[in-house]
Amino acid sequence: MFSCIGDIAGMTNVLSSVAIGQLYASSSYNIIISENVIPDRYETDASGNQNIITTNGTTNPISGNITLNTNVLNQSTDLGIAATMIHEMMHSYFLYGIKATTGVEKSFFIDMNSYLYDNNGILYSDDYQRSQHEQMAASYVNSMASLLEMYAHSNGIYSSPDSNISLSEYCKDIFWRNLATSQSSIKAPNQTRAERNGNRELKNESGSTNKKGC
Amino acid sequence: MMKYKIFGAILLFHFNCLAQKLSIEQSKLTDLFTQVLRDLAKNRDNQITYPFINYDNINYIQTFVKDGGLNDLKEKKDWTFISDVNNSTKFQYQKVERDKIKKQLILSNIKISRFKNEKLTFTPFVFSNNFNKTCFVFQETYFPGNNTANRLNTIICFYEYIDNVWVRIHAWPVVID
Repeated sequence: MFSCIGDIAGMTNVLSSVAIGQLYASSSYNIIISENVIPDRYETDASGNQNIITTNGTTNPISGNITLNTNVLNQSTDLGIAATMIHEMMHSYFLYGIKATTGVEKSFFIDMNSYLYDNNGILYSDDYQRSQHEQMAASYVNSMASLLEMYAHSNGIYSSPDSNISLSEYCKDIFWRNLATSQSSIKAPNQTRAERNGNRELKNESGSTNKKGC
Repeated sequence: MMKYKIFGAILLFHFNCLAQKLSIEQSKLTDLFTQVLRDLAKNRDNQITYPFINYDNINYIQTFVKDGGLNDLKEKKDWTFISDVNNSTKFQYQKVERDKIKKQLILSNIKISRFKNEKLTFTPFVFSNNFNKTCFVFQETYFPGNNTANRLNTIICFYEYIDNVWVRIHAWPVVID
């Protein structure tokens, strides 16, 4: 797992992913990435059915530290794990921007991430997760997918397991899968396909890019 | 005989005071609940699902304190009472006047929708001894179908009673995934 994290973090130096690059370059903001078992949760819906919540990873809202779910690490493909890492690093970047930036850097952050704030520039502090996913959906999916595609190339994956789309589109689907279920109002271009391809990697279903090193 | 009369009077006075205190607390609790829902509805197109009470998420309050979350509050010292959440004796009094709250919300043009795809849960409010400060965790869950559920937000909120109105002091997520 940790070699995968190193690979992704290293890539941010050469990719135009401003957000994660900024997080990576900061000398004052340090985060710890670890793994732990995050048990599935069960929630009862309006019809009385038990529904399962599987958490791929979490970001601590106070420290920005990331915890990846051991169960998911054991199950997902390398690409699925890398996608989870990038997703959580984006959350950590948002926390960095909200809590640790000042002056010009703060203004730049607010301009870049307007979905996190209301029309008066007030942070959506009680609708945090939704606004962050909204922001990812609006501005970052393509660059997150580019980062993931780069990771795929460096690990010998050059074509999409879904033969109807390019590897680039396939990488976007993996991110859209999580953003679509977070009820972001900005939807995936093809939600059904994103769900299918996202599950293929996150649950290592047949026809995935398979599990190698992570 | 006189002794018993005096004792009875003291007892009566004591119970009257207690009843008055409980009545004030009940009224403040109703006002708080209404204000919290009003605040939440602001970013949700003035529409909200009526919440369920969830005791399990009380654990998030302890984690928040342990992680140093209180450092972001201006008067950190005034809020340390939430560290003692396990010993709170206030939970038993939290009987909420639903009809009164619903009427107040309707007067504020807030629509209360039925629990369908989105579920809202609150922990009981954890109050300071003077009943002027409180903290709780709310969680929104979304059910997209296919036997799955997604957490939308899990937020810790801090409210203070200032000039006879509950005011939100701070809100912060307790987990992001």
